[in-house]
Amino acid sequence: MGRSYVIGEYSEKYLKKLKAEERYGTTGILLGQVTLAKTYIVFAARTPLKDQAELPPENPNEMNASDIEWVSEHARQVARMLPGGILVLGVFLIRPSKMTKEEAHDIFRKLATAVEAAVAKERLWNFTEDETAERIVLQVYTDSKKMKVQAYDLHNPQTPIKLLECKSSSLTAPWQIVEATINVDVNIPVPVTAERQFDKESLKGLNNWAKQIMQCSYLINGQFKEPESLLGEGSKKKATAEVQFLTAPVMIIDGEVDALIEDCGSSVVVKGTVRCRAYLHGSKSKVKDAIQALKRDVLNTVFIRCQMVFEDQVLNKNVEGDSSSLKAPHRIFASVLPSGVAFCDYGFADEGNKEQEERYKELLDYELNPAQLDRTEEVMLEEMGTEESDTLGRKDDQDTTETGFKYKGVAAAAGVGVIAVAVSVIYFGNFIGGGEFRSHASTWVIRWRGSYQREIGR
Amino acid sequence: MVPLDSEDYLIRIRGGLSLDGILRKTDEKGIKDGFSDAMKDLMKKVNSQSFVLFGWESSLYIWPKSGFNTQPTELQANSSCKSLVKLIPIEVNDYLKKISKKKSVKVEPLKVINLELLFELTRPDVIETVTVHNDQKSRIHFKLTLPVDVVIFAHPDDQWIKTQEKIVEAVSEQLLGMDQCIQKYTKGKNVPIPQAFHFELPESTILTTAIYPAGYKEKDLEPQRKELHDKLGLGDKPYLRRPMSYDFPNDDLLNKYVKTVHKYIPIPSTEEFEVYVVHGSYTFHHYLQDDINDSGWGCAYRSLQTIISWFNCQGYIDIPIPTHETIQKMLVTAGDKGPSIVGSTDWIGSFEIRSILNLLGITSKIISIRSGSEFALSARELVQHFEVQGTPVMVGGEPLAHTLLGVAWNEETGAVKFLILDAHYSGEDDWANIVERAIDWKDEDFWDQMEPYNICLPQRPQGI
Repeated sequence: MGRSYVIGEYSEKYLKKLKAEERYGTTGILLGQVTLAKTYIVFAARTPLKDQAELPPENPNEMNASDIEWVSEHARQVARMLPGGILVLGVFLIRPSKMTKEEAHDIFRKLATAVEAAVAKERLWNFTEDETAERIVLQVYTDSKKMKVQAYDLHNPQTPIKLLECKSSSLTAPWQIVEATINVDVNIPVPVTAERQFDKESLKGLNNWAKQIMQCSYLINGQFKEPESLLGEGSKKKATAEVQFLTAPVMIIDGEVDALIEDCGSSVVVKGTVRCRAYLHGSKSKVKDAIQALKRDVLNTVFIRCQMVFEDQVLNKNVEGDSSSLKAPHRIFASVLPSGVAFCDYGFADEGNKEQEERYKELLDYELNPAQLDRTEEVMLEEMGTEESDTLGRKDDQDTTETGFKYKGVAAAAGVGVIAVAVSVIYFGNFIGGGEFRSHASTWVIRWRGSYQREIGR
Repeated sequence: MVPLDSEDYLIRIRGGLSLDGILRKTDEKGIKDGFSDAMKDLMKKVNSQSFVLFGWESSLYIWPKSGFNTQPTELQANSSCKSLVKLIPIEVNDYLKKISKKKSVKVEPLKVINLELLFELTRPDVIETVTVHNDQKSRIHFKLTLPVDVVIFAHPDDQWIKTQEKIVEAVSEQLLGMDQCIQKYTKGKNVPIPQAFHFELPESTILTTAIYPAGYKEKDLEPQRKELHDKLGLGDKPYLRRPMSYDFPNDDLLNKYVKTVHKYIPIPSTEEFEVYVVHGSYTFHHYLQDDINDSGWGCAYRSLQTIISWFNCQGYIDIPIPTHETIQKMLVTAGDKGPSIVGSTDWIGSFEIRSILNLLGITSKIISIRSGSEFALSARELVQHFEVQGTPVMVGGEPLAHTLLGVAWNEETGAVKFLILDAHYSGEDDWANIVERAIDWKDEDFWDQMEPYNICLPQRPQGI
């Protein structure tokens, strides 16, 4: 009754390639999807080398805390590139022949745990009780054809470690896709007692919003569908399903008599439109799993963008004056696998493609062709977006315009228009006009390195 | 009053709509303005394409602004409201159909269609890049969930499209009313939650909605009620006290007791009589109810329970219906009886009823009738009681106590009929049986011609 593991063609080929390079000690992360009974490994990417171009030790027992942190940080950065439904599953290690096998379970458990903890920092949601806490370490031996994973139950260290064989499967058949375009509008009061009035801590205020999203009701392609029914039932094969989310019914609390009026020292308002996507393996996914994956993607993409705004801000020491409005980067997808599964990255339209290419190479060890980039969100924003709002996002004199949101019937039309949106960072009271754009390009690359440096190199 | 035999549907639209905002100002005016602005935004949203109606326990979602819905084959542009009923389970009290047609007025149980208000998060009116705004001058965060509750009536043949528009208008109107409530009752940083209540009015076949601030006592809302009474020409009997709000079918079905049963039987011919009945609602209490075996001795207690229920229903008091034992204890407290009465099966009469009502802050008059044959002589007084006070009356005779709910009087001939609610009924609490056996208009010979009676007339407190 245990979980079985399936490894896809891309990952197998990739790991084979690394085996051939004989750079023993190479570590990397594994990405894929966890379903009720099976875990599918769809992608693998080696961890970038530290600055001194040193490989981690061949013998895992010699890995130190800094090595573990390095891999974890890689995992955390990659977690930002994942669409709904795809998770960081664990770690792989390239090792010389099986003869040298040392079981390093303590280190492996530490690795798996550290990676999961790092990745969890990027989330506003938690796994449910019936979701497995099993994560893996895959040792790739040069002289062994078979792939076997050590599986660790991260919640119950007492559970015996399982050694499981990975079945090979191409995993190239198209995966089911669910998508949504959703608006966010969250007011976060920052307590007067907060240490700093505008930093990552403020983002805790997104937790209530996150709960609401997880509870809201949904329609798929304009129809109500039972949670236990199959996603693919009754609709065209392999078409992307457009999802609509509706506010959850609000419980009116008996006995509540007054409005909530609370003091705050300042406020953070997160407002805007995001495009979300989740991938589901096979054709037997249930509606409730698809919806859960998509909702989690909503939370991820909003949270990650906000975090980036704050990180950017710290690097550039932006906030001046009474208020500021900082634009978050857009999401850009790139279809990387034959099954259609795409990863994503964040950036600004004016940055060009080089940014994305560099990042995919660095973090995913993947040669990206610019043609693979899918700037759907930017296109949507330009074609149907409205002008920059004034402070606090209030549109005082604007009539509600029919945005011509292209829903077929109530289902969204496939293929929203595309446009790049000119982006600038607005300083309220200090507007940088027209020609001067902040160079986001360099900032972002620096950010990757920079945050790496900041967090690792003490 | 809402007709008992109407074909109309009552469409009830409910939902918790959120007002959430950040303000720089912290004074009362700043807060009131903040709420007002937020309300304007909410009204825009209600009139936008992201506003959705959802049929309770159905798969039907409707976008009023764009005309889309999730079941377009069954609910089309030119469909009538009848189509709704095929898609959404209705709320209805089918037990009313079991009332014998011979005895009752024509009853067509009211069909209620329940809709929920939602907003679609994935149909934004404004599409824009995600922006993180920071305001160092923000001082107040406010949050309020408005308990929107709107009712409209629609005929089955009404065009659904028109009804849909009416719904959006009605919701907008209620939001305006709720804003007015906030503006009126906000003091400093205390912003009461506006609540909607629906009432039956004598001259109207539909329900009238009033919005009151939560957390206020009934007596503190009297000024607002007076204003409404003046505006609606309602006179000085209460109609708009919150506990008097309309009971929807499920409220009736969930209530342990049956309410205001006399409305199901016809009144004596108005060509012959002037008819005066109890005002407002009450619950019917009788022998063996609540598993208490008081057969043979408890009728006056039951009558008192009915009277107390009247004062509860109209919101003059708010107490649980007292048991026989509680009533006896109250008599001991009042000094009327010795402690030995508690737990006994002793009878009580009008004077005891008066004492207990006194404890609850309610005064009563007592009329003594020497013998049943002289009952009709008190007709005028009884007429006046129902006309002015409108409360249920306890008629205490030597062996039997009855609840009197109205009189029909022919001033010329002197003929009188009496609307009697029988506390001796010992059957089930269902409409069919109660209407059949426990409520009736009786002639003067109903009373024992030889026995004396003491009648307790509870007085309705001042004010509306």
